Amino acid sequence: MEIPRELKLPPRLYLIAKHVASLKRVTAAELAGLVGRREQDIMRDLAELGSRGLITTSRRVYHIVELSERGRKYLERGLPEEKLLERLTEVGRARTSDLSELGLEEDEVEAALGTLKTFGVLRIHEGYLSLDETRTQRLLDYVREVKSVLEAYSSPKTLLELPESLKEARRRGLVSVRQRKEILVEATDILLECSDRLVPGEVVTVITPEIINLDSWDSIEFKPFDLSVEPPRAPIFRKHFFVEVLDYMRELMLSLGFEEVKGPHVELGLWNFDALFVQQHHPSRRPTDVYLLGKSAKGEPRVEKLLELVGSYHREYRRYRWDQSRALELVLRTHCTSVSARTLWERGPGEYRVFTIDRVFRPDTPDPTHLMEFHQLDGIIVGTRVSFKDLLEFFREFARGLGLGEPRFRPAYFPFTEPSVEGYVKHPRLGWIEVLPGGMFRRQVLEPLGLRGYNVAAWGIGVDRIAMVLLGISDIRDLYTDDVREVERAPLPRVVLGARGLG
Amino acid sequence: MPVVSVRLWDLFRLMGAQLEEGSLSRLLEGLKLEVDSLEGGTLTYDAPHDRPDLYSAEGLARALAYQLGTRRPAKYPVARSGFYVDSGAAPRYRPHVLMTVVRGVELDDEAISQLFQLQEKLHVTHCGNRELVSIGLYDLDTLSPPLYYREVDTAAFRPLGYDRVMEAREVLRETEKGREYGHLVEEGRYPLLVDSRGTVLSLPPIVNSEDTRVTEKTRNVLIDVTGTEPYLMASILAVVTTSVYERGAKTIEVVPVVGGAVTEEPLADALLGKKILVTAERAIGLIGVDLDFARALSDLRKHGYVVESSTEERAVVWVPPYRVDVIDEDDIIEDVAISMDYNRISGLIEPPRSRGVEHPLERTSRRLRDALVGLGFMEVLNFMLTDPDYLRALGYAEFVEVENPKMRTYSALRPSLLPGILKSLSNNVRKYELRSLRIFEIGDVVDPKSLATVRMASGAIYGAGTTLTDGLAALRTLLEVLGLRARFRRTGGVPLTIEERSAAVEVDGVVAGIVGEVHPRYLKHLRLSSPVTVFEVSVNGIAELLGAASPRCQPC
Repeated sequence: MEIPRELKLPPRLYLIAKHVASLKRVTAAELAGLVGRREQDIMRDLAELGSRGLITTSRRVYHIVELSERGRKYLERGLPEEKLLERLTEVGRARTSDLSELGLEEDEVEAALGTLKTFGVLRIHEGYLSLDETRTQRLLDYVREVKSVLEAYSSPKTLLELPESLKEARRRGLVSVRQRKEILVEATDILLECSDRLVPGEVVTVITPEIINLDSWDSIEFKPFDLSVEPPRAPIFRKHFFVEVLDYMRELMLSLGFEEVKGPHVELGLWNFDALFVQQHHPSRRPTDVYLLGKSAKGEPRVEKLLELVGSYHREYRRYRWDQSRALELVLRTHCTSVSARTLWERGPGEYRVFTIDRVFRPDTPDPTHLMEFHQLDGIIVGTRVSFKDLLEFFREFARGLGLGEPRFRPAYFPFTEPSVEGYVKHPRLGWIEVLPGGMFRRQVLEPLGLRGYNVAAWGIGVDRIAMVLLGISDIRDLYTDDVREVERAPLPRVVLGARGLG
Repeated sequence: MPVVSVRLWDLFRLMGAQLEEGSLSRLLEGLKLEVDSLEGGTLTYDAPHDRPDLYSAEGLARALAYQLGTRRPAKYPVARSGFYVDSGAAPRYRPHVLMTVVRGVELDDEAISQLFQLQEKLHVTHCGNRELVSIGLYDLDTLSPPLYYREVDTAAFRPLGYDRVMEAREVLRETEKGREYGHLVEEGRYPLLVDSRGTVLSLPPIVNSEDTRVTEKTRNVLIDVTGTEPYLMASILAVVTTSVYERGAKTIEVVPVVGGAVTEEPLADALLGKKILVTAERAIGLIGVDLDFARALSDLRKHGYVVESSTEERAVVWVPPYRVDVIDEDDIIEDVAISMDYNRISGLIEPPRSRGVEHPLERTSRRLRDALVGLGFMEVLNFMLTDPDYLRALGYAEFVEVENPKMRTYSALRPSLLPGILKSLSNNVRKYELRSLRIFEIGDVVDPKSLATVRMASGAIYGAGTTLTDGLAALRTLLEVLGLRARFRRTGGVPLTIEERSAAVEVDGVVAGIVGEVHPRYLKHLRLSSPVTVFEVSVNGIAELLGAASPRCQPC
């Protein structure tokens, strides 16, 4: 067998092997103590090391012999019969009652007298004890023998077999004997030869190239994970959830064949109102309803002809003194329908469908349901055969695409459309909510913009409300958060994740 | 949208029929009315702007009776009154007057309060808070015609609701209406309606006289409108007149107007109603479904129209005078569609003729978003409307402000994303005690010179040890993944930054943006304790460099 340059072992195996290599022969219990484990915990490791040929193990039973309390006392003070013998030798004869001076327990005195009798050393005459001097040698030999045993086991001894010499001490209860089973671990030659090439494996909480390159991964101890502990949050960099929802709506519109357009936020009254046939005295043009810039566009020659045309339609059909200067006032657009009007003017007659998703402004104080700035999705379908039915079908497809279910429609009013409609979708908590306003642009809107004989389906959907429904948000201000924790953690709506929608 | 309240007993009395709650709600929906509440015998609803005839119980009852078919639409008996009104001396700033008389009405408290409600709702909506038109109702039998609408330098009368005579000047100063609408008249040039004996009817558009008021005893009602727009006045007066007529009247009279630039003609025309030609072809083309034209025409009755003559292809339809919303046949076709029920109108949508096309600015914005997220930036959003004081505190001098702010903190249009992004940075750093942070925003700003919308992309890098290099590196990489090579050039005048440590970003020799270390004075203002490097690039510029079609967003 080729001996490897280094032998990598998992941490605990390495530790055990090191100890076995240096001790050569050691019990499993001792080993366990050395590696800080219970004996039963290292049995698998020993089997693993055995299967690698690094150690052999053998089982055996052994005896642990140590002095009993009495044995220890006799070792220190002498045996009771020894003391009795000495006294009687000294004084010749004595009464039983005199023996208390020996400092022995009563039962010890009894035992000592018994021993002396057994050896035939003791003579009793008229209440007096005396010795038979001729027989004391045998007793002295006995005492020496017992005392040597006590000395021999003054510290505990592990014995595979019990010697004959222990018999008398055991009988007299001077030693205790316990039996133990033990596993003896011995280093093999292989271990001894490569003991200095042992390399510890790291704590396998993470897989390293070394581990990947091991020949056998069975020996690796992977740290088991406690899955009941909440894992830490991973840092993430994200797009804003509201932007994602707006992007999803954009994607939906593109999938329905719409082209995206854009228009300015600072807008002429012309595009926000007049071109849409909104009377100049309409409530939506009051300073409480539209942000005014307090200045006018300085001559926009491009729209001069349009201004005249638009004015003539207002005069003819609304019958009031239409004022061109008001059409040139600058406002913050109150809806994106201004972009639809601009698009119709730029592109004129044709078959097309365009949309825009962008911000609009209305004087308001922010609260959970109002903002002074929010988003609309405006769109138009232009063509000679476009009808109100197409608008309703568009709304149905749009609602389905957003997972909002089948909308319900009610008549509505907008100054620039006829017929006009408001579409409602059912919200599980809020009931029917108004989300889909639209209509067919009036001919008084279309003709000045250059479209005769064309129908235009138009709408201006407040998408913030839909985004709130999709995101489960009840305060509109939360859509515009700049709180990075909220952006980090907000889950995206199901429909945006593709779980349902666009079918 | 005005909120209107009617009593059910009054409504049913006017209709001559009772209605279950369920069928009432259904019918109201068809009239574009949104029910706010129906309790305690009172119905409260939102009425749309285009149906001023539904701003009181009279018009609502009429519309419901047509819907139910318990009443057939008919033209109004309009005659000329035996007296005139002279507007020859009317004030130039409010030159016109129109009048009708409705004879034979029966009024009670509820009727009077409904007519008052109608007047008030009309005043705040179509009448432009009385600036364009103001309406007055009088008991004709308290007056001695002819009547005069003239400018006076003073006048004395008992204003409605007061028990003493006041001078015109005092009326303006002392009465509630005077304070509310006084600005609509010129001092010493008061408009006044008086009769031949000098009895004052009203000081329009402010307040009527107590002495000529309509009471439960009134049988013949005189109605006037004064204002600046004769046709608007005529249509408003037609609505009020036909509503008063619903209170059991027998005839309507137009009062001739003499002496002024405008006669009673617009009013007489309005009260006749319009005749409009409706074709089957247009109805089918606009609604988009095959429909039974004859059936559609017969349903028009339910909307108060009278079909005067018809063939299979066309019909002449009479439009009642109170339907001021009806301008052409499409308005009538809407009522056809309403009769069909919008929810039953369906069919295949016209297929698109081309594939969807995303706007280049949005496409480029998304690319930038993806790249910035990849560069370890979080996206934030801010409003375009911001606080002008904050902008000034950050050294911005030029930006667009609105003239009529609702809140000062949202009254300026951001000229750059940087002020918002710095505020966001400061908010987050302080709220979460962050030691470093990278955020970006992509959004629109308004250029104060051209007033055009410009799409920008901005980022801010915060943390100890942050220098210009961090911004340069981010921009270099950002532009690199778009296939553009950034060059940086020292430049002055970069807002917010330290002049020595800021730069212009150029791509192909064109300035695409700026980058720089924020000056400590602004860091202190924002209560930030570590350095910040910011950058801002024009998405419009990048989209153009990428060869995308030139964005279609024109400046005004």
